[in-house]
Amino acid sequence: MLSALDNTFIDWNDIDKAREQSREILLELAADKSALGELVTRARETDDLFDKCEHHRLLDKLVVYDALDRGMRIRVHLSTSDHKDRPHDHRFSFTTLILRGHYRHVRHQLLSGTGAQVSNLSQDDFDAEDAGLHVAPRFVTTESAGSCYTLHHSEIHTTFTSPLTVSLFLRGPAEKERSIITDRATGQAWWRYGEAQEKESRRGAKCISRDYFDDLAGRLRQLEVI
Amino acid sequence: MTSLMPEFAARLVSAELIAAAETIDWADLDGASEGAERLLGTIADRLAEPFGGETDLAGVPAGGCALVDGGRPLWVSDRAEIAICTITPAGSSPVRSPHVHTRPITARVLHGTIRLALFGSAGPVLAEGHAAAPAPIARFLREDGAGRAITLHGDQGHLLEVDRPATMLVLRGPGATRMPRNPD
Repeated sequence: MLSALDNTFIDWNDIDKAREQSREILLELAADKSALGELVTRARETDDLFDKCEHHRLLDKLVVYDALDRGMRIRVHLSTSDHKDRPHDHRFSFTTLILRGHYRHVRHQLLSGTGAQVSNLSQDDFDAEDAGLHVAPRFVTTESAGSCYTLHHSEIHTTFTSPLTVSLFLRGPAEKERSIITDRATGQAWWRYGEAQEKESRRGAKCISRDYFDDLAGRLRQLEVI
Repeated sequence: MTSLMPEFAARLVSAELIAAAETIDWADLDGASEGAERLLGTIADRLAEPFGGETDLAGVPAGGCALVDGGRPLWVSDRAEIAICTITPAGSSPVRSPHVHTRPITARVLHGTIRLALFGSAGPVLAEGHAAAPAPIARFLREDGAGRAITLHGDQGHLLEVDRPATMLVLRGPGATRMPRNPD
């Protein structure tokens, strides 16, 4: 499994083909707990991977495989106990496979606003700015274990998670400099940049320790994901 | 549309369920989806029960694109429509081209797997990233198998594909037309 991964290239310009390839990879990884466990172990021991692991308000991200030059970075997502309705887009297209738990998934259409007036420095919910962004649901479903979907980077969606939801997430290369997150209740918004362009304060705030990583890995074992 | 046996439909769709279907507030799509999913889940459970040995879901014939002619109705009024629809891989079918329903719809897969591609919507775009994604490229791709339910706004462009016949329970909200049309 892992050697095949090292020889795979995903071209996200062909989203249908990218969907097929990425789905197959995620399904194989989910079925091979030993291989996934090995990737988690490697992530803890490899600084380049470990430094990319992050704690966010709504989820923890473990980066377990990084080959963006071949069109993929694989992460394990664990939801936190905080759940909010925050429509957002992504800087990249991705495929995700839900392994445990479930979440409400809503695709939104932008009704008004563009986010253009939101300052570059607005990078967290506590310094969100009024953006006049208003969205409306166009597609609703519950994603549960086994659900697998591919989303283009231009899409706006919400994932309202339940506790202990775990997903495998395979993203492609960044297609734009920043993505936007909005609070549906207020219309306020803030930007999400890639690591290199983030404010230093934000970069520091989401780093995790190896103890915290071990705690997350322990949860994955308890849930029999690895 | 071809009706099912009346007693079969009556067993599946009680007056209580009809009242629930007809009072769903589709203006709140998020909330509506939860009520619609519950309702279709109840019917699906009833479908799983034996029915005097005379008929069951297997008695619902597959053929062509049932979605185009509305499927086999269990209930039809101007406020709600409940039907069993079958999609087959053979033949040409408008559901394989991008289309909208012009009315909200919740579908629960009973048998088989549907591949669903959702398209972007016309309207304002975010400051970043949309230039590379002109409609109507599919931007949201997924598969849904038995037990899964999806809810679409009437303006949500999409297409469906199947490798084998797939059967769905469908609840349609109010609207004048079911005719597919291209979202663009």
